[in-house]
Amino acid sequence: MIRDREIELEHGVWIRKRTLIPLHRVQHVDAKQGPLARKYKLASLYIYTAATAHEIPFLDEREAEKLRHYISSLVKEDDHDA
Amino acid sequence: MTHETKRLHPIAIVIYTVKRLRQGPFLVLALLIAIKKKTGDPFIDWLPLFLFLLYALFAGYMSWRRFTYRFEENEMYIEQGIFVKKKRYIPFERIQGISQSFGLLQRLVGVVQVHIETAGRQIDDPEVVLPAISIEEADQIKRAIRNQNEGNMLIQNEMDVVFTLRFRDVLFLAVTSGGAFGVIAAIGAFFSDFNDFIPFERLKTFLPIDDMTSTIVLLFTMLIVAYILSIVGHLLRYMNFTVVKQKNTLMITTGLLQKKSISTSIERVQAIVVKESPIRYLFGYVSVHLVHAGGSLDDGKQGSLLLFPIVRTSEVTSLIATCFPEYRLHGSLRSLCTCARWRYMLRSLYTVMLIPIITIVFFQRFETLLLLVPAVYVGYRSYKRAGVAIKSEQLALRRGWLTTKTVYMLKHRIQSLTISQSRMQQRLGLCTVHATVMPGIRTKVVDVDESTAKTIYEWFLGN
Repeated sequence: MIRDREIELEHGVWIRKRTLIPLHRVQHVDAKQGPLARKYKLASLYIYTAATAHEIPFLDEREAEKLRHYISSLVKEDDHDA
Repeated sequence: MTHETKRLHPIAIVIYTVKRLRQGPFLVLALLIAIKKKTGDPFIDWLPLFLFLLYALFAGYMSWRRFTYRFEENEMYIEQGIFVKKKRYIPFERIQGISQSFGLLQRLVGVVQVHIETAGRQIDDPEVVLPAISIEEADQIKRAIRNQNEGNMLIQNEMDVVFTLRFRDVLFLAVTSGGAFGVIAAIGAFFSDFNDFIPFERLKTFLPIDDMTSTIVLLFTMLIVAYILSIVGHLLRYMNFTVVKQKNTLMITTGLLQKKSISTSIERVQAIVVKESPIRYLFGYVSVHLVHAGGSLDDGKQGSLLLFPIVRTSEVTSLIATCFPEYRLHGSLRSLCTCARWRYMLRSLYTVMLIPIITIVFFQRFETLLLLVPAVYVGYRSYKRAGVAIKSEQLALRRGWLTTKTVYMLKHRIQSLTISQSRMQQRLGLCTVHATVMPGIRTKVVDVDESTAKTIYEWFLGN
């Protein structure tokens, strides 16, 4: 879930985790795609802060791309704090 | 500022050579070769060692020869490397911290070793070490950095000595340090490894060691020697420990033989950690570490910097308030709810459970069951010590059983926050809170009740 100012992730089957990343902490976003994922047109998104990395696995290729651009555009807007 | 290209002081050759000699694999290899083959001819026996020495000397010379540096208007330029040449420009405004140390070798010729830390962690090692430059040059670098950072403003020379260690404190620190155990462990490991090399049979003819007592005595003296060594080491290291605050930079100087001074800016500090170890706590002392972004200025762990090695519990709050006005230390953390107690105790039980099970099943020994008692106590104690607290912009997390660590973080320093919940925790209404600050240092508290976790989460939401 992506809101104006932060990214919220929910994941885990046995242990449920909810992670909160303020957008102005995001340093860069990566999309990765292995051979298998490429075959099924999937991609994983990695969100990096200065200290941590967060993965959103196996998104649809186009959606990953869209999300990546969306996050980076949000980050740029929010670029007041170094 | 001069723009000429310069070399380090020639003493750097010796420093580099010593460094090369200390590098593990080469030394071990050379030693092994020297030990294994005993042809009787001393020349052949010592040849590999000699060659190694020659190599180290040559490498040391080359490292010195290939290391050049130059100051420019706003940056410094460093070129180094024997085979792989590394050229690097460091803008002064990118320098995050700088530390100096005077080793014995450096002191012989009156130079200092300067350790420059920059931010970029991903690229490669963030630090540049200038092993031997003159004191004036070191000051020059420092001044350049300060000028850069303060936008060429008037340099205010008001320095506040915030903290000094008295001899009494240093002694107390040394006596109660855990380092003693480290030395013991190292010696133990050494002896277990070199068992084969030490001719015990021959020893026995010299000393009548056939009874247990003398072995124990030997061991005991070893321990005491190790302990004394550690005390002396600490004394040398933390003698004259002072913290000076100068506007936005903190300067820490320490050491008797090897003088060290570390300076870092306050904005780089990401969190404050208060450590309470049991013996020191008993006498009313704690130690304070800083978590700062970037490499290790102190030769400890990355991102950790010892601010007050030992300080009275009653003084911590006011001291921190003078250094870091944004932080408020307080002891009033909210402890966990009682339903977490059982989980803490059980969890430490699980970890030791294996030992009694094995001994009972295979050896029919029931004595090891006694181990479970301290395990339960450890669990209970870590439950008692764990806690969380939010105060305006600051989150505090505390954990640990023998040594408790309280980590104070400001909201805008936290990089990400995770609340996790396993099925079991879900049933009991408990959560685990993780918070991460800059150099990837993660703190967590297990089994916080849901409502508290929710408050923390919402507190962080309103960023």
